[in-house]
Amino acid sequence: MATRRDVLKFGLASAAYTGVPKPASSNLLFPDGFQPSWVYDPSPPATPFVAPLFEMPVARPVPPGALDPAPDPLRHQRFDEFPPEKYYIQRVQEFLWQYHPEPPYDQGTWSWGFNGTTPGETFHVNYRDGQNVGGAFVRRINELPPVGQQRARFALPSVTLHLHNGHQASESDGIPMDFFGPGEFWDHHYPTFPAGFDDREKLSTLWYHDHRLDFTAPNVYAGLSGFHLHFDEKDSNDETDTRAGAFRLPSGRYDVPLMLHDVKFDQSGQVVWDFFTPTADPTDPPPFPNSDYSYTVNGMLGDRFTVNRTIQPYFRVEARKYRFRILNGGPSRFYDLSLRADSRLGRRARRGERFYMLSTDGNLLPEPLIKRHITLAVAQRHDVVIDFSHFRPGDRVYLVNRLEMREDGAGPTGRYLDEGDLIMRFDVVPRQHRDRSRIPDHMRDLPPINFDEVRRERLFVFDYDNGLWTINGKLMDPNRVDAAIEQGSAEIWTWRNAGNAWSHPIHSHFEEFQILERNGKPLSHHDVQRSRKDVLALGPNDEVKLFMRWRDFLGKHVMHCHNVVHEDHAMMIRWDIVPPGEGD
Amino acid sequence: MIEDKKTTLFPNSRRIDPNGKSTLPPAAQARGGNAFPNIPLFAHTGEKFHLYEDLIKDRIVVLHFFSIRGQKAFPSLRHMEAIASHLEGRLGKDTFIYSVSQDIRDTPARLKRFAERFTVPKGWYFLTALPEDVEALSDRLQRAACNRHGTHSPRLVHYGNGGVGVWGGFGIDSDPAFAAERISWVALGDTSGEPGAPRRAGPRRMGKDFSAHNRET
Repeated sequence: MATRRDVLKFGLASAAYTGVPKPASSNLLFPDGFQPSWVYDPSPPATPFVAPLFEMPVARPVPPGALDPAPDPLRHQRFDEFPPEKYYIQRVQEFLWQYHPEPPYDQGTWSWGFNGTTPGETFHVNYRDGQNVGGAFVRRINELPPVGQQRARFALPSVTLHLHNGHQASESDGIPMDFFGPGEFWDHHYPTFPAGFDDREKLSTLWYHDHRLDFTAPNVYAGLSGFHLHFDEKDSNDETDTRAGAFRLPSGRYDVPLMLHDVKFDQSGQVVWDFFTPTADPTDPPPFPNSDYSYTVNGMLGDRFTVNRTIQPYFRVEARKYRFRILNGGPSRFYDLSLRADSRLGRRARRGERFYMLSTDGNLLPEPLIKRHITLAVAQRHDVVIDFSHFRPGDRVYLVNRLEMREDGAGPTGRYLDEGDLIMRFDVVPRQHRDRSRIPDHMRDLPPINFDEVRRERLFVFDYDNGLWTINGKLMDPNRVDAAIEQGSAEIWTWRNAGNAWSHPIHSHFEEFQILERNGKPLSHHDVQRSRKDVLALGPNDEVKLFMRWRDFLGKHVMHCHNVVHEDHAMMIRWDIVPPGEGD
Repeated sequence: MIEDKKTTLFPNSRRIDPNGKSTLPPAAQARGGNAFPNIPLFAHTGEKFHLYEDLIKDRIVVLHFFSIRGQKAFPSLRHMEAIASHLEGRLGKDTFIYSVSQDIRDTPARLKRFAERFTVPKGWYFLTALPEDVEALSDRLQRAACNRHGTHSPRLVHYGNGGVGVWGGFGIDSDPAFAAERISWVALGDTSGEPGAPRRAGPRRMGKDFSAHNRET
């Protein structure tokens, strides 16, 4: 047990930096005297729903000649087979970002982003068509200040940018060791064809984010994330598309990416990275019998909910359908989201308080599912349609999170909050034009599971050991190949959470997987997880069997926990795609 | 208010002060960034230090907890010795290793005797403190030390730059050469000279070896 003296010491230490007296509410103290910073030193208040939602600009291509030196095809697998349609330059920079218009936030918060925004610009990239036109090439230039000069002091100005869910070769994937420092650049070739040239493998909502070994959590927290969207002749970004088979989903200004981050600020409105968060729950069983050993590095929770790096924004919506691409950008919080209207329209409003779920993990489902609430582990995405035509102009609709997190950030408690957290507000205004968008009955079939392709099975056990997070008892070593997978093969992987209190959103790069069974049972037909996935929320003691394939490229990738604090404390493996006959 | 501070880069950007000039203090020097209890620590050399003022401020720091008794179950100091061998030339100059005992029986005299069993270069200190101070430090860094008779040797090593406030972690049994490379990541960056054209960090020309790293170097 910590003494009162310890508590006072922490108070003094913190006060020395913030100049703000701390509440002496001893009833809030945890039994060990230690508190997460959001309890101890809450973020300054910010009136909700006074800041408009930040809508990220669409990235603008540049002429290929703008890249100097020119792209080098010898640095990319199969470059000549997949020439890029569009070229981009993204500059990774530090700047002041306004999370909220009230003091102290109005002065700006030192943030990291791309070409002046955080989240970065949204890429709109087309799948290759019949003439092999599509794909993108992105040169990212690190213009961050060097170590010691950066104002976001907790983050490391050496970055690697991963395109999450992308089917790109290792050298363009943004794996943890492919980092580049201030004054350096890295070229990313996104060939943008479906895995195995199977249209059922097409991906829709992707995001890019930092993946730096040991520093992913602080670097993403500082602002290094953005959306990357794929379109094709069906999901064509045109709700008036008259071609046969076009989905005509809400498009253009009615297609809005929403990135959720929970952030902690200090009294000057600067982001706080509370990198050592202690356990707060004395009922947690200790990892070792007969010990009071407890653990840190569990996760990081913020007390200000942000959407597109704006604290609790409002967004004016016309009384029509919208497509929202909702992403949990982390670092550690899980969400259970629902809609709550202040309308007095009764049953009619109830009809509006639902999501037409189009996708999970950015992959369009075989058919939309109607859900009252959606869950999002870190890095998970859902594309949803919300139909505001059920509301009247003047109505207000809130996006609400009701999932309670453990105070240490290691996962949900399993309890639901009565009122919940209001994440953002939609203000309904009259419709300007006829809504020509549709919710299609049918989208993308699941690719078949062929057990004849399975070469082997593997078991991965996710656990905690002695201050760090492990997979099969090991810590991440980027120089060690933990699985040598033969190109063109399939495998059955079992992911087992050996912990009985924490949760792990597990992500594997490059190809999607399908769940065969969860805790010994197959999924029901209406389970949203019956889909192509790249992140799986592995709850306490869960065991999940997956079917995965690996095609098209050779090289290194990773699988890891996407609670990025766990990831940085080594819950990650390297796996390689190797030529047939060279696997383990 | 927001409208007043738009940049010309994108019409609805919330970026303000596009030149990055501001009188604001650096971000996150509160709990999260670099706040450590300034406790007195006693080294195997007989010296007395204050944690933040003497050992962390303006230094590259490698810090972990151990206990002498815990070495039987997990020889963390043997691992640290291997890492230290790869820090030659840096240890004692800008980089320092602090092995903090979490066992109150590990007195400075005992640490001195124990240290003789290792090749302890300049810049590596075995440290102990008053029980409540070790507890305060471990509360900040590693809860393992809550047990005052801790016989446990944690695997987690914190490394960081105390002058900056950037901190990472790795396992003490990681590849020692690679651990030393990681420690170099938090060293102050080169600010000399005018910025030139950006240099290509990667990917390297692929060749046929896909197992090697994608970086140029």
